[in-house]
Parts: sequence; structure tokens; C-alpha cells
Amino acid sequence: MIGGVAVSFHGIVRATEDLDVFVKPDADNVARLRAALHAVYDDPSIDEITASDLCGEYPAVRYVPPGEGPPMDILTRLGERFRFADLERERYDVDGQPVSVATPATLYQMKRSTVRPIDHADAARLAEAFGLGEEPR
Amino acid sequence: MTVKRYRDVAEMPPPPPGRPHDPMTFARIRELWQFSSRLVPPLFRPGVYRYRSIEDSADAREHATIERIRALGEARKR
Repeated sequence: MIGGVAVSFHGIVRATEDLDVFVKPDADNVARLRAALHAVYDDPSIDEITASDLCGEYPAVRYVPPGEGPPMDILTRLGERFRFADLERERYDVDGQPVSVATPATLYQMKRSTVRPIDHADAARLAEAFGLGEEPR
Repeated sequence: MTVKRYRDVAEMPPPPPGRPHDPMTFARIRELWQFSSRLVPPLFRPGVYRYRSIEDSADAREHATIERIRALGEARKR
């Protein structure tokens, strides 16, 4: 998990409209992602989330479920800046479910290099809260 | 919890930071999503949208946000 929900989970609570996940780009893993989504949503469009897209020309896929569930942004890379192997993450137990959350340092590195003002604000707050500096990765 | 009064909003301290790694954070976010879904229409219709980059995805979100602001403004004028 990355993005605003991950930032919130580290204690910097802010509103966000979606859930961002960064997934390992291989066919088995994307199949597991589809299975997990099918377990939550009765939605045939989930099958349109494919490894050929996520591992190929479309590293960013947005899934908007029916009903009140949050949209999900599913990423396999961020340009040339971040790939799955670059992510530092920690595992937490949330209501009995293991959840992998990007570390504050990884979130800071991701967010300081994007163009969105909200990401810059997140980066500044992460830097202040966790004593993160400007050193290169 | 006590009520604190301020003579100016500038005197109000920032809200205390959340507790890191608090499982309740997810419950609060879920409640916020449910609340906001009653306040405003969703940015996107249900389905799967593919983007060649995170920047394209962000652009689509920005465009949808501006469209939603415009549509809400029009609807609330009526």
C-alpha cells in the first residue's frame, strides 16, 4: 500500500479518495490480485485487470468498483523512478489481515519527485515527522 | 474532551498527529469514503481504466475533478 492511505497509516492523517497499491509485476501476482478483488466485489470487469497491461504498456490501472468501495490505483512502476524491487515496506496486522505498507522513507522518495502539490505537502510532512532529508536514494 | 475557545483561528494549534500504525485509521478512512460518497458523485464510473504512466493517471483524475466541480456548481445553481 502506498499513497494517501499509507501516509495516513503512518500517522499523517489526511483525506484521500482512493486506495493506491503497488504490486509485483508478474502474472501470478496479478492473478492473486484479481482473486482478492473478486472475493470482495461481484464485478466481472475485474477480469480486465491483466498482467499483460500492468507488466507492459499500462503500468497504472484504475479500478473503480461498483457501490461505495473506494477506487483503487494499481501500479507496477512509477516511470523509471520506482519499481517494485525499490520499495521498502513493512508488514502490519490490521484486524487480523496482514497489510504491507510502504515505509515513510519510501513514501517520501516517491512523493517528493511527483508534480502534484498534495504529494509535495505529504513529502514535507513526512520529512518533518520522520526526520527525512534530501539525500538521494 | 474539553471545549477550548480561541479569539482567532490563527491561535488554534494544529490537530494532534494521528497515532502511527493505528488499525483504527483504516476504519476512519472507510467511514470518510462512505461519507464523501453521499456528499459528491464519484469521479469515475465503475470499471477499469488503463494509463501509460502515473502522470496520465493523475491528469485524468485532475480532469475528472474539474468536471465534477463544474457539474456540482451547475446542479446547485438550480
